[in-house]
Amino acid sequence: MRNFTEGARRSTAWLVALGVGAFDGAVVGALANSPGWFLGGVLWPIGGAILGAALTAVIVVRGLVSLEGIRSYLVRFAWARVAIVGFALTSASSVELVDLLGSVLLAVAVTVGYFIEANAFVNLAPNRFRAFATIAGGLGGAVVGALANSGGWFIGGALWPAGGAVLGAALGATVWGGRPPPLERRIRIPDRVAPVIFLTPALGFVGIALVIPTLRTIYLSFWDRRSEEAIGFENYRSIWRDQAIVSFEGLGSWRQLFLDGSLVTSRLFILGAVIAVAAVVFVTLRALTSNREVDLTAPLPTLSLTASAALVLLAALATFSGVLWNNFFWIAFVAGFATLIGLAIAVLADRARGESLAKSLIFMPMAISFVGAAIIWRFVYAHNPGENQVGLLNAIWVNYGGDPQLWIQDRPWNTMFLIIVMIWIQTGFAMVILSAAIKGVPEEIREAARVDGATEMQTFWRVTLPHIRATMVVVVTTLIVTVLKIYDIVQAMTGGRFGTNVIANQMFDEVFQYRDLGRGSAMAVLLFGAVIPLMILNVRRVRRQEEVR
Amino acid sequence: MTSVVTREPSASGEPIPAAAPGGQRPATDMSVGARLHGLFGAIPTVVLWVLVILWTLPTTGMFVSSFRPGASVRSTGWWTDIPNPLPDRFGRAALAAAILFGVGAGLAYLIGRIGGRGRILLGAGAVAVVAIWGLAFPDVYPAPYTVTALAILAAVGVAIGLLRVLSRTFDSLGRAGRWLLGAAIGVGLVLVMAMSATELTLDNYRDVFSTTGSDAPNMWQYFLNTVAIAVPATIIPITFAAFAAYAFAWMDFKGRHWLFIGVVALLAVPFQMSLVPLVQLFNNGAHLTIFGETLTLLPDLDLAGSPAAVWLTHIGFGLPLAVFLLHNYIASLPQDVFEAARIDGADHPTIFWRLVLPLSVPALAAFAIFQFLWVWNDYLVARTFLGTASEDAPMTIRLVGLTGSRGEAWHLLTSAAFVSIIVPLIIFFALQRYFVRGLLAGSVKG
Repeated sequence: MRNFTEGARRSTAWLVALGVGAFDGAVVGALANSPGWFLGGVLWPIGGAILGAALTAVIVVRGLVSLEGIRSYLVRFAWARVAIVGFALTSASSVELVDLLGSVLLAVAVTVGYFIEANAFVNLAPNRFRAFATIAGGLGGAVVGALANSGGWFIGGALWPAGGAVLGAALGATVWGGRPPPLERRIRIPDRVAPVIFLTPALGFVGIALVIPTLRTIYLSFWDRRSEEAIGFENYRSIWRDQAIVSFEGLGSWRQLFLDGSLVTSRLFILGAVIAVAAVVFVTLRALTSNREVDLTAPLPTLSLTASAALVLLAALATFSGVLWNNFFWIAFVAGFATLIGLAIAVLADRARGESLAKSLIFMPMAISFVGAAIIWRFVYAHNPGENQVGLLNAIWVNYGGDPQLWIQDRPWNTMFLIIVMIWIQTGFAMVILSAAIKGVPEEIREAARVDGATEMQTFWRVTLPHIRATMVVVVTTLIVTVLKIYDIVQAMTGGRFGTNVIANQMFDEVFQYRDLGRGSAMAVLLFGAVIPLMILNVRRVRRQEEVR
Repeated sequence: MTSVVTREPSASGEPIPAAAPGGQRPATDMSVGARLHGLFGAIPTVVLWVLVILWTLPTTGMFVSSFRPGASVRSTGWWTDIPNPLPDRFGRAALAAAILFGVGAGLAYLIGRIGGRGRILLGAGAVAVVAIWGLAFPDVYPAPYTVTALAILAAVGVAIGLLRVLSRTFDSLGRAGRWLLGAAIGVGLVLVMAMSATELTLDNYRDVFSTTGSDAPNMWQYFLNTVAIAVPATIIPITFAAFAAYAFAWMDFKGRHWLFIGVVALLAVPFQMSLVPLVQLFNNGAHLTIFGETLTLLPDLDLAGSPAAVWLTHIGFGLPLAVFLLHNYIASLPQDVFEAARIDGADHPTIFWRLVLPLSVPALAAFAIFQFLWVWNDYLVARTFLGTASEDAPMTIRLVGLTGSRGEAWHLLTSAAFVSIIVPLIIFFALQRYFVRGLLAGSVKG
């Protein structure tokens, strides 16, 4: 049996070796006739394949190179073969999926190849320094040559990098290779260069796609619409003065504060204020009569104050208009409601049957695209004149005696209906994270509280909640960052009209519709500015984690 | 989580388990009634499932709408098409069975709190009462009524017994068994509704794939486009980020801490900050003008308006999250194995290739799923580089395009939306564990 597997293994190795030999031969053949100088066309790769296979057979049979040596040759350049296959697929086929497969193969193979070869190159340094120096010189020379003629000033074109490479290689071989550093320093070169090799692709990409464009956008925000003339802070000033972007009409002067139409006189505001005052009074009275301290962190006052804050925010939504105000309301309502509802569901699910299925279903909207969610809710908000309603909300409304409403067109509440879509999506996120946090609270602490005579509510409020406060902060900050960038939902539901516009949409319109690069960049910078505090929070948290490590 | 039976046994000799938080109880020695006590006595369950129904209502409505003819979608609500089960004999039978089940379950709960002798007494007493009543008032309650009442009692008794058997069977099913059962019940319900439904059609799905006409939805093309954008944007960041994450986790070099902090900070940068410069880059290439002379840093590769621009951007924006996620995971791998390998003389590439990479597969999978869904669902980046009319656009752009058309194609939105969300839903339900892990670990990303 062992002989059989040995033999089979050997014959598999044989087949692989022959196959790869044929492949390499075919590649050489194709390359040799790639400019099409010789007749024969496709005969060249085929002939090359046959020759390659024959050559491999001769090498193995005569024992010129051991099977082990062949194996390392196969493995070492496997990436190049995959890359060639990928390249062939992209250039030879017009079927989209084959093209896609080819590009992916090519990209992955080139990346892996880069690492393998870069590491092989660096590993030359300790013992074969001259070779190392030659290659390094050649690479450096090629880069210098390419840069020197990048403006196309001199004739020669591609000869410049090539010539630079040759010159650099020669310099490396003779000058640097001739005076290698001492052995102990040479040995450490691979370890010192390894981080550079590992990090360059990722950091290079990030630099080109993220860092440099960010800096450039900040730079562009100080220039005019075509980036021809520097105008300083004028873009920012014009944004601030634009009534469509931020307006304080509902506040007015001190005299106007108590007139009709201002924030303070709206019913929602008054209701919110009443609840807040009632809560504080109630707590104070209770403290006075039962000789306890005034404790505003108890469930009743906290929930009442939260409710009144929500009412005041709703009043503000009805009063203030403008793009920046819209973003503020988006953030406040989504972060607030999604976290609260998510927390409530997490707590409910913890002690209910069918927990995992229920959580899956509530989490499901996060898998849907924002555009898909917007369409689903457009059907819910649909409006038909008359008795027959297509949208669920209008059907319920009409059923109870109302008139059909244009939910997403009538200001000021249309923004709220868009916000509801986001709450629908993000509650699952908050729920999943908070549920994990709640389950992470040690059972012994809860038992201890119960033994001490605490009720369920008290245990939850005073024991569980403080434990998950850090997680709640993470959830809220993540939600704020997500909501600041909201674009898809607004675009798909109203296109930014009817007063629902937000910063991301406005910025997009400035750049592509009004063609004002300066103002668009300024809006992007405003968006970024709102994100920076949260970025700092994240960074601080990660730094604390890193220190522990 | 197991709970502890804390109360003394009741008079019947059966222990009644305490209601412990967490709700998972050992099922072997519980009576049917006690088991149902968890079901009926738990208000959280009811509230939770009402919430779940509310939450899934919009999606369900859209799903049902996608099977209705276009004219109906535009003129009547989708709930009008839910068939009324009662007029039909089959439906009446189903309703009767459901009522029996409910009554039986309720009675079983009550009966479960009584002991064995009490149950016999109760059953006999009920039969006796019905029989005597029928005998005592034969004019008001002639024989057929009495027989029917006795038959109902018998049916309830059978239902209780059946429930007992069913709940034992249900508890002994594995997780897969329960999913199968749920799926079978769901399919059965759908079939019942379909058989008595007024009008259901697959026309919307057929039309949304049609390529005829200048304004054809042609969803299949856009579906392939979405795949062509999402797959490279998922696979390629993994290759880059794996190396970088390993470097940050296990290599020591100057500036490593601050560089990593920098990458973490970049997680929150919105795409708007790169939008204009990237558009300029793909349109014109990158040039630096110093002292009046222009250096070409990156030539114009003619990427403007091609999907390559889209997935290159997604790679750039996905890399910080990938590096962060993978770094967290790799840094938490046990250090001893790597120490041993280094002592044995392995260098970084070997350790990475043979040890770290195979061990990091869960984190790679988590990121892959997260990134795939993110790119599949993206709209802004595609809109920026491809515009609204490109043939290479992903499905999100086509969807928004379809919303613009009033009247005629509006009903196609239902099926179009579902074609675009079916792949994320499948991935979500099949690989939810990995998705949640990615979410929990990378919850710093906005």
